Amino acid sequence: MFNSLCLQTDVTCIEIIDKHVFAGIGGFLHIYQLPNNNLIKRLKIFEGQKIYGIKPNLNLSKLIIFGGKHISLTSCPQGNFEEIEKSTHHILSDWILAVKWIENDNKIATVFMHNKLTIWNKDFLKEISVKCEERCILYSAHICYDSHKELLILSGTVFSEVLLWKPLNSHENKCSPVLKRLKEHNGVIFSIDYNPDNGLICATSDDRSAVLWKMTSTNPQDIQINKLCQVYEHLARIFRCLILKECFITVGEDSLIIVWDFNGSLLRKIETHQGGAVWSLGYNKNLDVICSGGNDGAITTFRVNPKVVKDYSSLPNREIPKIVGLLRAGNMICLSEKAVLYYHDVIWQEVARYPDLQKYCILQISPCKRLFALAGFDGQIYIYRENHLINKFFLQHKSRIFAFHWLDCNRFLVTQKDGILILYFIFNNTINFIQSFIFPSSKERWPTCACALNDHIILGDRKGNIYNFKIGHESPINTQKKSHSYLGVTYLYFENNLIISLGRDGFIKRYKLSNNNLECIDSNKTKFSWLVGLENNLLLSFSGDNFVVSDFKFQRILFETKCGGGHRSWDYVTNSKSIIFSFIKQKIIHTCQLNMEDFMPKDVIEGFHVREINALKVLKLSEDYHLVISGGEDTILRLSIAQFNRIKILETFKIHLSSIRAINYYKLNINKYLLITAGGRAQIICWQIEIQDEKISCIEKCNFYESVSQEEGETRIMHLCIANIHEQLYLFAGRSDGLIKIFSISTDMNLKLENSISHSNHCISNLALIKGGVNIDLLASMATDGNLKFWSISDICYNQSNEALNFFKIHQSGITSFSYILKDDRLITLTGGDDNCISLTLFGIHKQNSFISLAKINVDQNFAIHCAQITGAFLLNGYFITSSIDQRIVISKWLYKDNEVKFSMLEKYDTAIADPQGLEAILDKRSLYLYIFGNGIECVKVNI
Amino acid sequence: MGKTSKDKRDIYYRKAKEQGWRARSAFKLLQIDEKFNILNNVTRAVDLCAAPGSWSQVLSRKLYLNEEINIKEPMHLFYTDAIKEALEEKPPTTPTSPPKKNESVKIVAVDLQPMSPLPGVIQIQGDITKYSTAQEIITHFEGEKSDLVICDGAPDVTGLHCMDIYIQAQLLLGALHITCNVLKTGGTFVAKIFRGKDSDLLTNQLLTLFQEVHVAKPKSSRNSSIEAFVVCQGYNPPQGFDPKLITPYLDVSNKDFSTLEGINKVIIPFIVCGDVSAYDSDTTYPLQLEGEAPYVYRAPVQPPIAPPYSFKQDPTKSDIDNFLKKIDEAAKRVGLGLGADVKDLNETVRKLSISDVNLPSSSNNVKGAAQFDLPEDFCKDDTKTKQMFDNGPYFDLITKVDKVQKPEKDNETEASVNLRTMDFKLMPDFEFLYKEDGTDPEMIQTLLQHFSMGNIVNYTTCFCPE
Ligand SMILES: C[S@@+](CC[C@H](N)C(=O)[O-])C[C@H]1O[C@@H](n2cnc3c(N)ncnc32)[C@H](O)[C@@H]1O
Repeated sequence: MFNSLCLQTDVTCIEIIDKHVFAGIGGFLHIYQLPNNNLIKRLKIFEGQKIYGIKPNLNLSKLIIFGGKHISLTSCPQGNFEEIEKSTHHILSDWILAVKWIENDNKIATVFMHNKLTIWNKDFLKEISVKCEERCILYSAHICYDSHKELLILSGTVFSEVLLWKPLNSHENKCSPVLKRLKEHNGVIFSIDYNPDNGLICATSDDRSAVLWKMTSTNPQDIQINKLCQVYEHLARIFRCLILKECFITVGEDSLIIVWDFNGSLLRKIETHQGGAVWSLGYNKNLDVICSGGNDGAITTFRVNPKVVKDYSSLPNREIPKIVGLLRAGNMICLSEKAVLYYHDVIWQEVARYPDLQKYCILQISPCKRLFALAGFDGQIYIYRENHLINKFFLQHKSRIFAFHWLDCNRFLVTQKDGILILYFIFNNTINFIQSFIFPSSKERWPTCACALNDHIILGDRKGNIYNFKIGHESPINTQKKSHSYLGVTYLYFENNLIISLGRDGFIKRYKLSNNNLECIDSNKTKFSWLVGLENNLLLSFSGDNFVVSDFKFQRILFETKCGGGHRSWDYVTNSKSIIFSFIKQKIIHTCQLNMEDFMPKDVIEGFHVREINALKVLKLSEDYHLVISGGEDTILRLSIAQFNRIKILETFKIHLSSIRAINYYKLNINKYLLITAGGRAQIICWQIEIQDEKISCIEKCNFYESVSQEEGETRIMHLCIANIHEQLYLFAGRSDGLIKIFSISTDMNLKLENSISHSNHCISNLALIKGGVNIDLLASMATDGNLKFWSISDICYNQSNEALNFFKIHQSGITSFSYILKDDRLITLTGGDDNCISLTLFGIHKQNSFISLAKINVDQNFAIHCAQITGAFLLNGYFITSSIDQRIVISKWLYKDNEVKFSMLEKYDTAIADPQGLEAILDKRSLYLYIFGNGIECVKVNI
Repeated sequence: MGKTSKDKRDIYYRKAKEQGWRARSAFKLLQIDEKFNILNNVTRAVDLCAAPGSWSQVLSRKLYLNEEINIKEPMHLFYTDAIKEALEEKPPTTPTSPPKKNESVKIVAVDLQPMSPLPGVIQIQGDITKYSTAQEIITHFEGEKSDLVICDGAPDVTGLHCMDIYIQAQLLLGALHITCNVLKTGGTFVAKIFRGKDSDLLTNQLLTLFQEVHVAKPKSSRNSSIEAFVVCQGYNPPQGFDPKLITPYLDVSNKDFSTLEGINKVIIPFIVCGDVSAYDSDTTYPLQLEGEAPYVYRAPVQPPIAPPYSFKQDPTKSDIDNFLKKIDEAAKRVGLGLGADVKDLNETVRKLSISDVNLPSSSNNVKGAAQFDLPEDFCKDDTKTKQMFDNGPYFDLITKVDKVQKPEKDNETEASVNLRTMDFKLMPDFEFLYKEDGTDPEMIQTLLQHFSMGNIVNYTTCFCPE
């Protein structure tokens, strides 16, 4: 009945086997082919149980897959992974921490959470079980060596110790003694690895450190172990480690992957998984690739230690470098303190001396990186192509040039006093005056960056303003005030007819020109601050003393180098493959060149939300082609397409200041939707979604939040509803302080507060519109008090009454899910609560003139179908679906007859999505598509 | 933001400080007691996983010191008139002499961590899942058995729910093992559970040992948290029951609730405790509640005297470095770099992140205390604070700095004529550009053509001759 179509959640296990990534996602085994990352097989191993380990035998004909107490043997005929099949499934008595094939693949060893080892034969019949004398709970274990005789168990306890013990020296009923205790940690041991080739042991812990030991003798009487190093760099708990030939790798809760040498020096630090925990790690020698899986559901591969070519040089004659620049082919130019211009291709060569530029000089390189200009205090300008002077001239006013900006290699803009900007055009090797502009008056009256789009010139300044000039007009057409706070605009460029601005405030904003006006279409806050460049998904910024290269899409740091900060002279040049960065530090010119291919992690699966998804809506675009809109604890709004068993992310927006808790939409016309998202800090954002064939665009229209006073609590918006009342749209926002605020929505999608009603002094948990039947237009509100209240929409929108029509106590505590069917004057509601209870309630609606009242007629309740908070409910004719934190998705049958409602459970599905926050259902002919969201997302098709 | 932010987010956190509880958990026990009267006629009790000790505090005050604890008393927000009158009628409760201590009361509190002493409470430091700890507790109850065992233990959660739920169940088993050895027949057992995958199987098994079992959710426990409590009353082990063999009783492997039959399929009732007047921990309340004395910020009552792990208690150099680095970064991020403001900023950051728990006197740790103040938020709070640090304060810092930042002085005034180094006469080959040269219409035409070629800025195609 239930068929899981796709699943994106914690990747709890990764194993690279013969150029294939085997990943455990929920209870499903996924096999991807490297390096093209194609999914070649998806196989259900367990239902509702996550996979924690995958262990192939030597000839790859069999795999053991385990998770929790479950263990399964799969067979793989002729090592053909596409034909892999599940053969047996066992449920053992305790949680399995480690599994290993031993005795030439004839036996299997398992270690359990209660520090016990069991050896099984090939057919999974128990041969022997041995307990360690230390009877305590383990969080991790590792099995060393391949024969029963040699077996050595490393157990990681809750209380900071790694225990070494051998099952050999024990009899049936006696426990094995602990041979050695490694006590270097200060907290739960989360993982242990051992590399038999170099005899190294690594353990990671809750104390945020990893310790590396070398085992020199394994003689049970005299095990010799020396500590090599203890490393601290992670910002949170370390969950996994892996020892390779020449380095070891640790990953943890802080999303960092750190590569260390055996002395404990950091070789590489990579940010992955968007700040979410990294759960799993795999490595392949032949491909020299590491693979990680995380809380965001991503699987990422990257090189262990890619090369950075670093170079240092100083100028001839002990000249002190002052300004450095990089030209297109990686050639450098440098102006010294004494104003000597140098050029570097292989060595530094003097080009010219400019005593007139010694005290003041601006050096600007054109966007194409072939031309550069030197501009001085007296209005003089020298223009070079590589090392050839092609032009030199004075401006009419022989006064200081405050700024010089290339718009492209034919146009430039100079700024002199009083905000006079002059545009020049280079044509046939002559410089031609085009026109002058007036820069608006301010303290620092010159632009910091510029770009041109057709006959528009866009300028940014130190105050964060962005000006839109147009050729033919002296003053700006319009201005985006404080687009980048007071910190200033650092970089402007255009792409696909959009202008993009970067600021020192860490924001990236996009604008379009409509009717010659510059309009901001969206604004994204990055986690970096001083942004200086964005090229092909590479975001360049300064953070403290460091120059940082990160990938824009996931905002993970790829490379960092200490350069002394952005106040110094620096430059960079990129081409399709590499990036060169140069800067002056301590009178030396430094350069580093990196091949970005090597640095850029590659996603086998793209990351989705980190932590819980709180709210999700699905728009059916066509059969089996759905637009998924989701938001959650990570504050990011995502638009994705679910099709052909996969979820592809279209766009991400990081505009919410706090977690997103509610999403709702309203269809405006055939391809236009109003989308509203809301959450923490009582913030509400309106968006417009337009769907044109395959193209889907989403534009922010209104960002609403009230500033809170000192005394007020921090209010969250918990739920949203949109209603159309006589062609006027209204928004109902249910809040954590028990209020429901009612806004009218204008045609340009702005919100105006119209009314505010109070459900009770309890946090609102749900809102719903009830529409239909005999002209019924109601709002239902639910809260943590367990009450269901009904309101007349016209009363509360037109401020006629702020009293509820009726209320009913349905649950002991919060009502978290709601669905209804209206049949004439009978209302049937399905509610689920924090009290595990499913309640199907029948109401009668009585309408007299304009006065409506409701009465409870009958109710059926069940506490046993679920054993934890119910978070999702969907009611349809004859059936309903509920979901709960207990990870059960249950389909029940119901009946309405003779003023009575009754229901009973039909079937259940155990989802691997932990902490499910809700359920979204799409009805399509005879199938029902269920989107279960929480710590990840699963789409399940149900045939009724 | 700042030190009151936690007060704003969590009414019980604030109330705990106002009423002198070491942790907000105290309300959970009080609300369970309000519903089930588990503390009635109790003279001997065991508190497992007790640190920092708010449950022991409740036991100590109610049982040993014989205090009346009226949890409704300070809660003004939802007073119904009836309660108000009842309160007014009562003579002011200034007791002429403190209530008499009940010297026959025996309370044993166990935790991995030490906690500061409480009147009438014997402390044992140990792991409840270890046999030796169990033995030590048992010796205290030789002869006379205990009336009540409570356990509020929570493991070090990993964030992988199924594993956390499993480990929590192991902790419950440990507690139950001790309980079976020290609890008198008819006694009561209360323990924290995680409601999640298959938790019904576990709670269901408790019916073999107790006459009555309920799953209780105090209102002070957040709705969104998976925590709940089993309240098991009327201890009544089967004939010939050997507490050592507790595990098979609670083996839930290979079972599915829907397949159970008979007594095994009895559904454990779920009860929400805390009456209508109780606060709701999910609701946002203003700091200043109606009818209350003016709100003042209070420091937490009693942090644990030693945190779970020493790195937290005594930050290592790298911890400190990290912290400083973060502060530095924050300061630099907002573009200040140097100057007196940095100090200010550092102060702000410090306040933002730790002043809630930074007591002047004790050498307490930052993380430990914060953890114990909101234990049931085990899986969310840490990340939430992290997020706050990442989003909240930075955001606020930026706006704050906006105000303190003074515009940079234009130090390059036109008056600095000495910068003028150019001797114009020496440069005869210089071209002079006069804007009066006029705009050549042909040039404009060319420029417009130039636009039609596109606005090419990257290097693969630019206007430069090859
Ligand atoms: C939520 S706190 C208890 C709060 C306490 N009831 C109060 O009101 O102050 C959980 C405690 O369980 C303790 N704990 C966890 N595992 C334990 C174990 N195996 N043995 C003993 N204590 C344990 C922790 O040290 C922690 O202090």
